[in-house]
Amino acid sequence: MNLRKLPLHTLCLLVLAALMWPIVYAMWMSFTPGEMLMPPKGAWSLRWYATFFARSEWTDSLNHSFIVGALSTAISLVCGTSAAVAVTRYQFRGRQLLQSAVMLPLFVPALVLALALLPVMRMIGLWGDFLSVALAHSLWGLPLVFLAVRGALEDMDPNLELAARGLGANGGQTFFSVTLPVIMPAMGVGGLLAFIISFNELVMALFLCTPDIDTLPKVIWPNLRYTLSPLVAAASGVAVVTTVLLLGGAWLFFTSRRKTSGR
Amino acid sequence: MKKSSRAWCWAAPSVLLLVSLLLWPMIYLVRLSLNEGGSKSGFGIGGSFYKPGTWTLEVYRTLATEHYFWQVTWFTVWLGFFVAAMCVLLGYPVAHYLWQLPRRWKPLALACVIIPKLSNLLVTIYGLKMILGDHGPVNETLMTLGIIKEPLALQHSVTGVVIGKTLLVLPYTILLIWAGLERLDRTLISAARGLGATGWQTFSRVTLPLSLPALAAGALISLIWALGAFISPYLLGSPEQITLAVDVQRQMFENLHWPRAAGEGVAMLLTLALIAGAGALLRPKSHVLPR
Repeated sequence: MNLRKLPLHTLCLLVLAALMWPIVYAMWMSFTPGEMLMPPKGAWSLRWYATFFARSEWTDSLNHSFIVGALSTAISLVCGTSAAVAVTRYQFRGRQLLQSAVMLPLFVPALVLALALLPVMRMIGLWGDFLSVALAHSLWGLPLVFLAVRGALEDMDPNLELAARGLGANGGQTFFSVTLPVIMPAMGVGGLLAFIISFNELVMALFLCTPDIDTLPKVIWPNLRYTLSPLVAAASGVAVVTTVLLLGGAWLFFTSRRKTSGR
Repeated sequence: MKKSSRAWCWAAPSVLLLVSLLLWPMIYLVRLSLNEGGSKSGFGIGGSFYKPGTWTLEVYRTLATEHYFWQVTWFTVWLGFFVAAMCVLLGYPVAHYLWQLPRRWKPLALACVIIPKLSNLLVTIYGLKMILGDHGPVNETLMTLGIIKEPLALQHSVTGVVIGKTLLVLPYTILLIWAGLERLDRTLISAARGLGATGWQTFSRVTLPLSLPALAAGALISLIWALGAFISPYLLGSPEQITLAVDVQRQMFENLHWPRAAGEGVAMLLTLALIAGAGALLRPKSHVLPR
């Protein structure tokens, strides 16, 4: 590393630090022992986390987030995996269109999607149901699962499936006992990412949630505008720790995938 | 079963999801914007959000002639372009830096980009609110150093909105440009160095031209996300910093004029389509090697 590049490298490290700083700072605040939103001086305390888990509005919202995330992950996994199989294993009219259409939700602002979904959900009677938020979130889970699984299917040795068919397995048997085990790690990565996205999503939840099904971000939102209690910092801490744990899981799946595909 | 029909069986779940949750709602959004606004009684209680079955261009007529709407639109577009420019200017060097990092450090550096991208955006904004506040570390440090006397208005100002939005979009920009650089053939770099090019020459005549498509894609996507800015203007801005997205939410939940909210949503989509279309036309061709 030469000296002339030093300013540039410093800038890059500063940008990386700036990206992490707000999150780390919010986490740090959550350990304050006092009533005020100040960094903990001296002793750290878990009292705000205890308060968080003692209040039903917060624990309920955490449960709701997990329910919505799980539903959304299941929907994304089914739709994303089947779309990836269709695109990699078959040639058909509309294949290219399907590939682009699956990615399209990522390029529409969240707010427009939420705005368009609210009247539709009211019309089909899903408004106020966990399923409405979960379905909305799967619009983003779908492309993530699709990308991960499509990559795994393309990397897979096509002779494996041919061998199974040659040995007399039908299409369903081949898929469930040969293809599925191979793409499982990729589904794990895609599914966990879909869960994380749903778990942390605010805008769609803001439009689609009724008070009975409020998710964690939806409950944090008004508190951010009107209160300055360290309780919100603890709620943020819970969200960040969950996200990082899930990301760690995704990373484990990702590395195991590299080992099994062996390429 | 025919092969093509089996393909459609596999495609069916995703097609169903996309048609019912993307295509239909978008068509319905346009339809909604052509309805008459509902009658307002009290705080919308008892009144309706729109009159079903009516057809009118009233919403678009109002929007086209309203000063407020154009002001909001211009601010949105200005903010979008400004934030996208910041993201590219900061994102390209960082992506390039990540690309050159030794294998050992890459996961750590990538984690610094991915964790903020996947974490709750509200946590980032919450942290920023504290950092940029009047008694936050930035103002305190600057005052201790004697550079400023009064705390800077970093919050509730356009500065805050730009900083917040840039931090929210930047991870996408970095990841996209970095992915483009990773696909680049590294032997070309060694070849250029082997033929006697200096580091700067290698960058400006090999790396940069080859990464232009990724750079363009990164810029376009940053712009698309920046135009949808909602959370940062809402929480870090003052009432003057209203973007289209913020106004849509207000029309929907405070003013309860759903056709107008829908009309503004359509306006947002049209702006995006226009910019994406222009971007696609101006996109630099890939595989262009410098002479």
